[in-house]
Amino acid sequence: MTGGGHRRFLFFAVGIASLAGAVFLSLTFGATSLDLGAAISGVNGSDRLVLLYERLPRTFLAALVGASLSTAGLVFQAILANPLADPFIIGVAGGAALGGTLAMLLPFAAFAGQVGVSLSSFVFAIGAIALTYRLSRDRTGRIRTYEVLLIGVVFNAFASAVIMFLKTVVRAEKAQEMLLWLMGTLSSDIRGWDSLSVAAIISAVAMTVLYSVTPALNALSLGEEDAASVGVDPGRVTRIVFVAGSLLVAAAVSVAGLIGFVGLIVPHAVRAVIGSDHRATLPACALYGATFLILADLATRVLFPVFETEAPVGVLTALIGGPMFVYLLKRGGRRT
Amino acid sequence: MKYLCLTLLLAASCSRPAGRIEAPHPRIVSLIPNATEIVFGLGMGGHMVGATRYCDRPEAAKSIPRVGGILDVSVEAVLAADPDLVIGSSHVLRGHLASMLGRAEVKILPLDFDTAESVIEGIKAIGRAVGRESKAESMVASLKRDLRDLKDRALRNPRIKVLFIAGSNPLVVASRASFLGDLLERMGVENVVGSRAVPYPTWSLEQVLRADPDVLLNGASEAGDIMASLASGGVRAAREGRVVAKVDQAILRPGPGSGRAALGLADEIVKVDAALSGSRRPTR
Repeated sequence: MTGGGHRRFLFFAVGIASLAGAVFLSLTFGATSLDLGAAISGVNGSDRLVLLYERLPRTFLAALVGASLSTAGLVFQAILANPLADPFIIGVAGGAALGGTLAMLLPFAAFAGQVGVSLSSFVFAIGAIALTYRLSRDRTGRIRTYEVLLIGVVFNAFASAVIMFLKTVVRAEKAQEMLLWLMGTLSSDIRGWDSLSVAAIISAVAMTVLYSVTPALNALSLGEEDAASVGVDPGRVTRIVFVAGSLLVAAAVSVAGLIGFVGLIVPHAVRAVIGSDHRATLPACALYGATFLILADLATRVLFPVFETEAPVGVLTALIGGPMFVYLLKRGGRRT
Repeated sequence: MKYLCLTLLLAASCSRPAGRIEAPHPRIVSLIPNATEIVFGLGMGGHMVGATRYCDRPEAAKSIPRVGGILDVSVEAVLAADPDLVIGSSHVLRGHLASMLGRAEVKILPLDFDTAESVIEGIKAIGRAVGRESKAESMVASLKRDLRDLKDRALRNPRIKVLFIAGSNPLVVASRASFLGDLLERMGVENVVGSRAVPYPTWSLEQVLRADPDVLLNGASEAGDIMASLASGGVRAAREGRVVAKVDQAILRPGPGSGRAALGLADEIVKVDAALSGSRRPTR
């Protein structure tokens, strides 16, 4: 095994151990103390309830969303050739946020609840993606990446303005509910395995598709002409990544709102350690993204007795992610 | 559609709306400050094992273990309190929380306090659930008496035009669609914020100048002198000091004390209007 191969092997081994450790901690600790042994054996009914129906699905949800956002961030940064691209940049965030907000306000919300919010945000996210896709294609059908960025930014700003307007005209408690969801939260009503499994299947399919194009992404990172010379069709790869990556984001947002920074910080951290071979970085991003969000969510729960609330996990990822991003940027700059 | 059906089925099968709690020493969690106040009023404060961080009345409520906010409730903390009864708004006692409480066989009492009638129904429902029906009846009778006494208590000819300021930065005011608007209407004053769509709209100085209220009611809890800035902006009532400077906070939270607080406010409005304007109030 080469030096780079050793490094990767070690990185994956540490990643798997970290994920296992994070899952264990997430099931053991939380807003209240829990006897894991008693919960598993069923001696304590309340502990068992918390373990099976609160912590277990929530840990799974955090892993799913963390893995999806990190993977989406990685592939968007690759096709847009922009290290600052995050999963929400292509307009999908604005679409999902608008869909979720409308679902909270319309009469639909009274009977559909949080599942209605999820469905609506997913549908609007897909709508935003379709719009961005259509508007950013040239006459030959090729996606112009700079237009993807511009349309995404403009659409997000537009959606944000509509949401702000809606916030000013609804009741205070409704506005607070919207705010909590928009900040990204894993403590929503989404716990049922039916909802979670749909999001998991979408994410798994999208990740498999993305993994299948990782050699082509590697070729694209050398430039479009070089990629074409080895038989890669840049337009086709961009389209595949665009659609599959967007599905990942839509699935994540629909169950957890807008959790920022995960899709930005994790790909940068992974690349800093094992380089930019997408065959390795893509699964590594999924692994470390899942671990990162499980731990961030655990922190919000453990801090409950201090703040008497669970801070939205999106706030915590931004608080951790911001300084960490600057550190990685400076560290990378010094190496260069 | 599948999820919708599943959710509805789950909600229907798991929620156990409260009848009377049979436990001799019921353990109560309140996820809504209005209900906390009522539970204490019924003499059951000692049975409370969980409340939100907004449950600050009466003083003793502040020492109850916290289980979150009104919307950001920790399911774990609620279950850890091992309650027999959980009271909360219908908006919160649904979905995942309701299904978890159903699984734990905890009775739930969804209540909304947004009108005087809903407060009366809420008091009765809590009284039934905790076995204090007669005490609840006397609380309801007292509230009804206050509301009866409130009718047209500040009615003058022409009606006194009032503006209720709920927040100062930005200027948030109470419209006719709010609980406060309902109380103002009952006391016979004219709320200059006519909207029935938005309970607490944001207003600008221009709108205050156009509405030209006779009396300003300051219910804002933020720091800063909103009256001074309204006076410097040319608002007549602020310049002439026709102001109820500190509104009793009990009126802001629909509950058993709202009627009494509204009576006090009505008397203050009349006093301020009579003392400072006399015949100077323009006839319309």
